[in-house]
Amino acid sequence: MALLEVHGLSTFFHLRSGVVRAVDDVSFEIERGQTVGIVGESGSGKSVTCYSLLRLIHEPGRIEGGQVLFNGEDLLKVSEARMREIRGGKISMIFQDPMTSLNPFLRISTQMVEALALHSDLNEKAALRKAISALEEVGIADAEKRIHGYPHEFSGGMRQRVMIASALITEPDVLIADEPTTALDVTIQAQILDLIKDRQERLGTAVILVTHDLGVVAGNCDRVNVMYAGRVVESGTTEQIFYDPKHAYTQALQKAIPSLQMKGDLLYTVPGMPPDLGKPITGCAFYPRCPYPKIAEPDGAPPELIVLSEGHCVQDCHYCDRSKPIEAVLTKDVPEARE
Amino acid sequence: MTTKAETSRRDDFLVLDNVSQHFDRGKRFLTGESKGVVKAVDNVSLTVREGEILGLVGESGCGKTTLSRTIMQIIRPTSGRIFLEGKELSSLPDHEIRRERINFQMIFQDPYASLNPRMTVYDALAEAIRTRHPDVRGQKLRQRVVELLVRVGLSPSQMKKYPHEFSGGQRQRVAIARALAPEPKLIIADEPVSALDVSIQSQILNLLKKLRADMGLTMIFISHDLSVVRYIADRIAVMYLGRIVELGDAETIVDDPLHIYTRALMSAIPQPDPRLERSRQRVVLEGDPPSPLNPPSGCSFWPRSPVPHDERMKTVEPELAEIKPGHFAANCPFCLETAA
Amino acid sequence: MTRSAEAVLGAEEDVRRPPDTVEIEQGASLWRDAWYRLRRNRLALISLFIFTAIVLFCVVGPFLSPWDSEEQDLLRGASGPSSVHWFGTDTLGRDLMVRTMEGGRISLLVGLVATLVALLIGVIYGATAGYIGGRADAVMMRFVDILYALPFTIFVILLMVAFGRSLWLMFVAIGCVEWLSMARIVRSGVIALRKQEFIEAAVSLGYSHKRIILKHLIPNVLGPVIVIATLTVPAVMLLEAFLSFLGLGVQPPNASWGVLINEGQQNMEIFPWLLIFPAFFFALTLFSLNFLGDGLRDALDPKSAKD
Repeated sequence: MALLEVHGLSTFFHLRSGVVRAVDDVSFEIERGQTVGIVGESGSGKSVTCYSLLRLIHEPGRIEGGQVLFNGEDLLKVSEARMREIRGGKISMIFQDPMTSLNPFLRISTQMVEALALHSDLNEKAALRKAISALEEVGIADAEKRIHGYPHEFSGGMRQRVMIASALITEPDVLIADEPTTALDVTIQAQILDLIKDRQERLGTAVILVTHDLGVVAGNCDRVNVMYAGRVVESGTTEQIFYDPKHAYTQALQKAIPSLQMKGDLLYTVPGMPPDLGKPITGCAFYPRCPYPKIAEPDGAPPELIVLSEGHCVQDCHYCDRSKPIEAVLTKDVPEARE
Repeated sequence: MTTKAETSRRDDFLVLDNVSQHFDRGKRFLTGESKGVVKAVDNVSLTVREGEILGLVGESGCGKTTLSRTIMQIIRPTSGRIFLEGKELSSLPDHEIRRERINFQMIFQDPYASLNPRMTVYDALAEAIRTRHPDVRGQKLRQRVVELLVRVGLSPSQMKKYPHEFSGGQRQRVAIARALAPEPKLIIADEPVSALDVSIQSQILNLLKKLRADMGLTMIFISHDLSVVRYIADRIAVMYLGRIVELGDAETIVDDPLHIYTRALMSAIPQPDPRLERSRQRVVLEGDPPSPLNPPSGCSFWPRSPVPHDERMKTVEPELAEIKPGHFAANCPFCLETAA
Repeated sequence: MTRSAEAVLGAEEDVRRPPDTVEIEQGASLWRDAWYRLRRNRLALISLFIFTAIVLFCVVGPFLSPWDSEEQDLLRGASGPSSVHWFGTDTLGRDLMVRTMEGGRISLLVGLVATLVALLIGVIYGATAGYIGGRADAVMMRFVDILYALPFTIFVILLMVAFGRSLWLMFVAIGCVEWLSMARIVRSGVIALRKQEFIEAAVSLGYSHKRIILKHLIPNVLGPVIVIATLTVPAVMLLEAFLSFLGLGVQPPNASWGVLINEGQQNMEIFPWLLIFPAFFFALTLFSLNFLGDGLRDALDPKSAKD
């Protein structure tokens, strides 16, 4: 049994304008010590999935169904008190914006000691010592002095290190990192990703890495789940996803990134825009944008995941003719932006 | 080429001659001691050819945004001179500068904040068109707005809509249309695709390339994403702490960088290729991007450099020099990759 | 460029010709969105309805009433509500309903006009300070801070004593005090907006300062301004009532609600209707304006407009 298993998780937002199916029947799992990437663009549901794992969804959002089995325990059914033990203790989360994820009014020491005190029996002095050594381990020089500073006295990269230290100080089993480096400069991004890798190796923590950057996934993840419009469209090892992508979206996304293009050519483009989740989606969510020639009309059937090979699943597609490779059907021109 | 003959294109379309932008923070109230000078841009010299796309790359604090605003004369350089098509801008008085401003247009990063939420697309574009042609009205004006919209790939039926009714990618197209409306000579694109989804980025990048080809635009493309810059730019300038540390053809900069900072930037960019990621050599920098308020002395890169520390780093005064033909770099001996 | 790219780019030219006839779709301005949101807020709608009803009552009412507000009937004196005098009469025999209506006219007029004065001064002052920034802004706002610290009552009393009591002077006096908050709010709104890129774009398009302030900045701060204005009106009306209490307000035979309430309060135990009716209308107006202001604040909240 895997460390964390997610089965059919669904989270909907009940807005006045309609029901937004932010997460729709999502399943994946993560083993001890593994790094699993969740890749998607805005509106794909990747962040909401993470918040759902920790039951951090508030009205008008509701977790509609599914199971989140953590060591066999279904987190969607346990008491709120038990969830509080788990959050920050067994499953920690770090967020995208280091500017706003730390309380600007409290010293770093206060915030870290508070987390420790909640999840362990340490007294204040011991907690402080542990916090200082945690900061040293994430590469903050002069930690003993700096820990008493306020968040605004730290740079973005350092704040993210503090977040990582705080998240890992309780030695959780799972670390959820929601776009941890998107707001940082690229050289700092490399440092932070290396740091996460390093801490993970030492502590054996499993990491769920949520990002829109395929490059980050390629360098840091063992398995990847590609999400689109609230669903997992493809899931597999990093090798499988990058060298043998099966879903049209996965293929098109990789082709649209400049780094793989020859210079001078126009880029492959994915026409259209991510779908409006407020409207119900019939069948395949990617259908309107799919570059493959269509052979069937979308029916109302929700797509199934078919298992292709060892660990490689993809959303079933029977709407398009997939005989040609993606390069033959992707366009390179400047498409009209249609409403 | 389809538009102008090669020979009639100016090599010195935009010239920056030792341009600096120093912000004096004043003096302390009681003691009178100086609070220091922020050298946001420090002695930058640059020549942009007509019709070229120059990529400007750097991290936060490197001065690329300040540089772009200085070029546009939104703030005047503290020293140095700026020439556009041979005409010196930095010496013009304020009211003349306002007229020159329409020669420079900017495309911003945030598609949400770059359009006035209370104006329709039509109003915004019409206003911009009339800066160059104040007498255009009525049907003719409508016609021009329609042309602009079609050029950037938007349907003209949307012209009476408000910005919040469009998606991020579409808003960016409107912003590009607005930048094109006054028929500028130079467009500065400041991270125009960074806030967009990956699948939309390529649409906008293709659009920019096409516009350059159609309209003979000259562009400065600012980005932190070297892979995007490599794709779209002809030449790339790498900035660090207000200075240019490397300048050359895009291919050369990316494939064969000389300066260690450029190499660090290149290796920091995650490549969407797992085997490559695992196997490649990385130059990892320590510490954070420096603040231009307290720049390190001398080479200014030494606090983050992976090269073993040497006291002489603090005293060298590197200058931008042509190391190879067409390939410039700050000639700090500790930062340059001289050996193979 | 490679052959393939050139071919693609070249081919585009012929196909890309703007259509001759275009069907223009109507856009939904943020104001319209705000109006829809306001309409869904039942409390705000009811308040708007009530306020409009009160205004009509005060403005049109006296034309429909058989009684004149100055017509005294000393023999009758104060009498309770009857079929002849729906609200009763005051100590001088004057019909209370007409007096309430005319009192409302004055109170509302003071509220609206003084708020308008405050708005005009405050918006222009605040927008200019926020736009200019730097030392000028600092000086301008310190001036506001100093004025804020001055006791309003003494100021108005001084004005009244120096220039005599008149309705117009009261507008000016109250307006002069209320513009301070308005200026602060507009200034902070402008400062936040100034950093937004569309203002930079306007600058780079060479627009004049006047154009930027009037066309780009002010329309975008109008949201909070409208809310504050709606909440200023009741505040001003209260101020006027307070002045009337002190005897600095309108002169008899004119009366505002404040004056009526004062008179009513003096005879509260014997002739309670003299207090109840004007107080009821005054309170109803204040409540409805406050709820309307709250509703407007929610409707105009830019955050909800951003999705």
